[in-house]
Amino acid sequence: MPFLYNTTDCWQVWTNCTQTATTTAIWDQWITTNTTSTATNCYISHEITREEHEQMMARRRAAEKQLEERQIAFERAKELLMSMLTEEQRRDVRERNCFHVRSRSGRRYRINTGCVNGNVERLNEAGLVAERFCAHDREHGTPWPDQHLAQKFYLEHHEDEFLRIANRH
Amino acid sequence: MQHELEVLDSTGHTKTTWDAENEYEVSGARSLFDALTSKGFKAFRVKKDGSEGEPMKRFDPEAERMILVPPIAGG
Repeated sequence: MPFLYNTTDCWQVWTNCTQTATTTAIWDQWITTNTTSTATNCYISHEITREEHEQMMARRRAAEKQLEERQIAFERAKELLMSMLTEEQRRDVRERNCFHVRSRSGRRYRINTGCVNGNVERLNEAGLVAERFCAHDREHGTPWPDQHLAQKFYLEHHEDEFLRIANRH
Repeated sequence: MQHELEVLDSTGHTKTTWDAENEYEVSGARSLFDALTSKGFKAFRVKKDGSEGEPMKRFDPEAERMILVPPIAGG
Protein backbone atom coordinates (compact mmCIF):
# COMPACT_ATOMS: atom_id res chain seq x y z
CA MET A 1 0.00 0.00 0.00
CA PRO A 2 1.50 3.42 -0.93
CA PHE A 3 2.51 5.83 1.82
CA LEU A 4 0.38 8.96 1.72
CA TYR A 5 1.84 12.35 2.63
CA ASN A 6 -0.31 15.04 4.14
CA THR A 7 0.38 18.73 3.42
CA THR A 8 2.64 19.17 6.46
CA ASP A 9 4.67 16.09 5.57
CA CYS A 10 5.16 17.37 2.04
CA TRP A 11 6.39 20.75 3.28
CA GLN A 12 8.82 19.19 5.73
CA VAL A 13 10.19 16.78 3.16
CA TRP A 14 10.50 19.54 0.58
CA THR A 15 12.24 22.06 2.84
CA ASN A 16 13.87 19.57 5.17
CA CYS A 17 12.67 21.63 8.13
CA THR A 18 9.82 21.43 10.57
CA GLN A 19 8.64 25.04 10.25
CA THR A 20 4.97 25.58 9.83
CA ALA A 21 4.04 26.15 6.21
CA THR A 22 2.70 29.65 6.64
CA THR A 23 3.09 32.14 3.83
CA THR A 24 5.83 33.98 5.74
CA ALA A 25 7.68 30.77 6.47
CA ILE A 26 7.57 29.79 2.83
CA TRP A 27 8.95 33.16 1.78
CA ASP A 28 11.76 33.06 4.36
CA GLN A 29 12.61 29.52 3.41
CA TRP A 30 12.54 30.34 -0.28
CA ILE A 31 14.94 33.28 -0.07
CA THR A 32 16.98 31.27 2.53
CA THR A 33 18.25 34.40 4.26
CA ASN A 34 15.70 34.41 7.03
CA THR A 35 15.27 38.13 6.58
CA THR A 36 11.94 39.73 7.01
CA SER A 37 11.88 41.26 3.51
CA THR A 38 8.43 41.37 2.09
CA ALA A 39 7.67 39.94 -1.30
CA THR A 40 6.63 43.24 -2.75
CA ASN A 41 10.10 44.71 -2.08
CA CYS A 42 11.96 41.96 -3.93
CA TYR A 43 9.44 40.69 -6.42
CA ILE A 44 9.85 43.16 -9.29
CA SER A 45 13.21 44.79 -9.78
CA HIS A 46 11.87 47.59 -11.98
CA GLU A 47 8.78 48.64 -13.79
CA ILE A 48 8.57 47.69 -17.46
CA THR A 49 8.77 50.71 -19.70
CA ARG A 50 6.40 51.24 -22.57
CA GLU A 51 9.27 50.61 -25.02
CA GLU A 52 10.15 47.29 -23.35
CA HIS A 53 6.50 46.29 -23.35
CA GLU A 54 6.21 47.05 -27.07
CA GLN A 55 9.37 45.05 -27.78
CA MET A 56 8.00 42.10 -25.82
CA MET A 57 4.71 42.25 -27.69
CA ALA A 58 6.52 42.50 -31.05
CA ARG A 59 8.59 39.41 -30.18
CA ARG A 60 5.45 37.55 -29.16
CA ARG A 61 3.64 38.51 -32.38
CA ALA A 62 6.66 37.41 -34.46
CA ALA A 63 6.81 34.07 -32.62
CA GLU A 64 3.06 33.54 -33.11
CA LYS A 65 3.34 34.38 -36.82
CA GLN A 66 6.26 31.97 -37.23
CA LEU A 67 4.31 29.23 -35.46
CA GLU A 68 1.30 29.83 -37.69
CA GLU A 69 3.46 29.73 -40.84
CA ARG A 70 5.05 26.46 -39.71
CA GLN A 71 1.63 24.96 -39.11
CA ILE A 72 0.46 26.01 -42.58
CA ALA A 73 3.65 24.58 -44.12
CA PHE A 74 3.13 21.33 -42.21
CA GLU A 75 -0.45 21.01 -43.47
CA ARG A 76 0.61 21.72 -47.08
CA ALA A 77 3.41 19.16 -46.84
CA LYS A 78 1.09 16.58 -45.33
CA GLU A 79 -1.44 17.13 -48.10
CA LEU A 80 1.29 16.59 -50.71
CA LEU A 81 2.61 13.46 -48.98
CA MET A 82 -0.86 11.93 -48.73
CA SER A 83 -1.48 12.65 -52.41
CA MET A 84 1.64 10.61 -53.25
CA LEU A 85 0.63 7.54 -51.24
CA THR A 86 -1.54 4.57 -52.10
CA GLU A 87 -4.81 4.08 -50.25
CA GLU A 88 -3.18 1.42 -48.05
CA GLN A 89 -0.27 3.73 -47.19
CA ARG A 90 -2.66 6.57 -46.39
CA ARG A 91 -4.62 4.33 -44.06
CA ASP A 92 -1.41 3.29 -42.29
CA VAL A 93 -0.43 6.94 -41.80
CA ARG A 94 -3.84 7.79 -40.34
CA GLU A 95 -4.10 4.74 -38.09
CA ARG A 96 -0.52 3.75 -37.27
CA ASN A 97 1.67 6.81 -37.97
CA CYS A 98 3.74 4.93 -40.55
CA PHE A 99 3.71 3.61 -44.11
CA HIS A 100 5.59 0.89 -45.93
CA VAL A 101 7.77 1.18 -49.01
CA ARG A 102 9.26 -1.58 -51.16
CA SER A 103 12.49 -0.71 -52.94
CA ARG A 104 13.55 -1.88 -56.40
CA SER A 105 15.80 -4.48 -54.71
CA GLY A 106 12.74 -5.96 -53.03
CA ARG A 107 13.62 -4.82 -49.52
CA ARG A 108 10.74 -3.63 -47.39
CA TYR A 109 11.00 -0.45 -45.31
CA ARG A 110 8.74 1.22 -42.79
CA ILE A 111 8.76 5.03 -42.60
CA ASN A 112 7.49 6.18 -39.24
CA THR A 113 5.74 9.52 -39.62
CA GLY A 114 5.79 10.63 -35.98
CA CYS A 115 9.38 11.89 -36.24
CA VAL A 116 12.32 12.20 -38.66
CA ASN A 117 15.22 10.97 -36.55
CA GLY A 118 15.97 7.27 -37.01
CA ASN A 119 12.47 6.85 -38.40
CA VAL A 120 13.28 4.55 -41.34
CA GLU A 121 13.31 0.85 -40.55
CA ARG A 122 14.20 -2.08 -42.78
CA LEU A 123 11.95 -5.02 -42.05
CA ASN A 124 12.99 -8.65 -42.39
CA GLU A 125 10.87 -11.45 -43.83
CA ALA A 126 9.05 -11.82 -40.52
CA GLY A 127 8.17 -8.13 -40.53
CA LEU A 128 10.52 -7.36 -37.65
CA VAL A 129 12.95 -4.44 -37.56
CA ALA A 130 16.32 -5.55 -38.95
CA GLU A 131 17.99 -2.11 -39.19
CA ARG A 132 17.10 1.47 -38.37
CA PHE A 133 18.29 4.43 -40.47
CA CYS A 134 18.46 8.18 -40.06
CA ALA A 135 18.75 10.41 -43.13
CA HIS A 136 16.83 13.57 -43.90
CA ASP A 137 17.03 17.11 -45.22
CA ARG A 138 19.01 19.17 -42.75
CA GLU A 139 19.41 22.44 -44.65
CA HIS A 140 16.10 23.58 -46.09
CA GLY A 141 13.80 23.48 -43.08
CA THR A 142 11.28 21.22 -44.78
CA PRO A 143 8.35 20.09 -42.61
CA TRP A 144 8.26 16.46 -41.47
CA PRO A 145 5.80 15.20 -44.14
CA ASP A 146 8.11 16.57 -46.86
CA GLN A 147 10.97 14.67 -45.23
CA HIS A 148 8.93 11.48 -45.26
CA LEU A 149 8.13 11.99 -48.94
CA ALA A 150 11.82 12.53 -49.69
CA GLN A 151 12.67 9.31 -47.80
CA LYS A 152 10.03 7.45 -49.82
CA PHE A 153 11.44 8.65 -53.16
CA TYR A 154 15.01 7.88 -52.10
CA LEU A 155 14.14 4.35 -50.99
CA GLU A 156 12.14 3.64 -54.14
CA HIS A 157 14.64 5.04 -56.63
CA HIS A 158 17.96 5.80 -54.94
CA GLU A 159 18.14 3.07 -52.31
CA ASP A 160 21.90 2.53 -52.54
CA GLU A 161 22.55 6.24 -52.11
CA PHE A 162 20.16 6.41 -49.17
CA LEU A 163 21.89 3.48 -47.45
CA ARG A 164 25.30 5.03 -48.09
CA ILE A 165 24.29 8.42 -46.64
CA ALA A 166 22.12 7.27 -43.73
CA ASN A 167 23.39 6.74 -40.23
CA ARG A 168 22.51 3.37 -38.74
CA HIS A 169 20.98 3.25 -35.29
CA MET B 1 -2.25 22.01 -70.39
CA GLN B 2 -0.49 23.31 -67.27
CA HIS B 3 2.66 21.48 -66.24
CA GLU B 4 3.85 21.59 -62.63
CA LEU B 5 7.15 21.57 -60.79
CA GLU B 6 6.94 21.34 -57.00
CA VAL B 7 10.01 21.99 -54.86
CA LEU B 8 9.96 20.72 -51.28
CA ASP B 9 10.97 23.58 -48.99
CA SER B 10 10.21 25.26 -45.68
CA THR B 11 6.77 26.39 -46.88
CA GLY B 12 5.67 22.80 -47.53
CA HIS B 13 6.43 23.15 -51.23
CA THR B 14 6.63 25.84 -53.87
CA LYS B 15 4.85 25.20 -57.15
CA THR B 16 5.95 26.51 -60.54
CA THR B 17 3.69 26.00 -63.53
CA TRP B 18 4.30 26.45 -67.25
CA ASP B 19 2.66 26.05 -70.60
CA ALA B 20 4.79 23.82 -72.85
CA GLU B 21 3.96 26.10 -75.79
CA ASN B 22 5.26 29.18 -73.97
CA GLU B 23 9.05 29.37 -74.40
CA TYR B 24 9.46 32.03 -71.74
CA GLU B 25 7.68 29.92 -69.10
CA VAL B 26 9.52 26.76 -70.16
CA SER B 27 12.84 28.58 -69.90
CA GLY B 28 12.03 29.76 -66.37
CA ALA B 29 11.04 26.29 -65.21
CA ARG B 30 14.10 24.74 -66.86
CA SER B 31 16.42 27.26 -65.14
CA LEU B 32 14.91 26.44 -61.77
CA PHE B 33 15.19 22.70 -62.43
CA ASP B 34 18.85 22.99 -63.51
CA ALA B 35 19.78 25.29 -60.61
CA LEU B 36 18.34 22.97 -57.96
CA THR B 37 19.51 19.66 -59.45
CA SER B 38 23.02 21.11 -59.66
CA LYS B 39 22.74 21.67 -55.88
CA GLY B 40 21.89 18.03 -55.26
CA PHE B 41 18.09 18.07 -55.47
CA LYS B 42 16.61 14.87 -56.92
CA ALA B 43 13.92 15.18 -59.58
CA PHE B 44 11.00 12.81 -59.97
CA ARG B 45 8.30 12.65 -62.61
CA VAL B 46 4.90 11.85 -61.12
CA LYS B 47 1.36 11.74 -62.41
CA LYS B 48 -1.10 14.36 -61.22
CA ASP B 49 -3.00 11.66 -59.40
CA GLY B 50 0.14 10.96 -57.36
CA SER B 51 0.96 7.52 -58.72
CA GLU B 52 4.54 6.34 -58.29
CA GLY B 53 7.20 8.54 -59.79
CA GLU B 54 10.35 7.90 -61.74
CA PRO B 55 13.65 9.70 -61.40
CA MET B 56 14.63 12.33 -63.98
CA LYS B 57 18.06 13.58 -64.96
CA ARG B 58 16.97 16.30 -67.35
CA PHE B 59 14.14 18.78 -67.48
CA ASP B 60 11.25 17.65 -69.65
CA PRO B 61 8.84 20.46 -70.58
CA GLU B 62 6.21 17.86 -71.45
CA ALA B 63 6.29 16.23 -68.02
CA GLU B 64 2.87 16.46 -66.42
CA ARG B 65 4.18 16.96 -62.91
CA MET B 66 7.62 16.92 -61.29
CA ILE B 67 8.77 16.99 -57.69
CA LEU B 68 12.18 18.18 -56.60
CA VAL B 69 13.44 16.69 -53.35
CA PRO B 70 16.24 18.35 -51.34
CA PRO B 71 19.44 16.38 -50.69
CA ILE B 72 19.48 14.32 -47.52
CA ALA B 73 22.23 13.82 -44.96
CA GLY B 74 22.81 11.30 -42.23
CA GLY B 75 21.13 12.33 -39.00
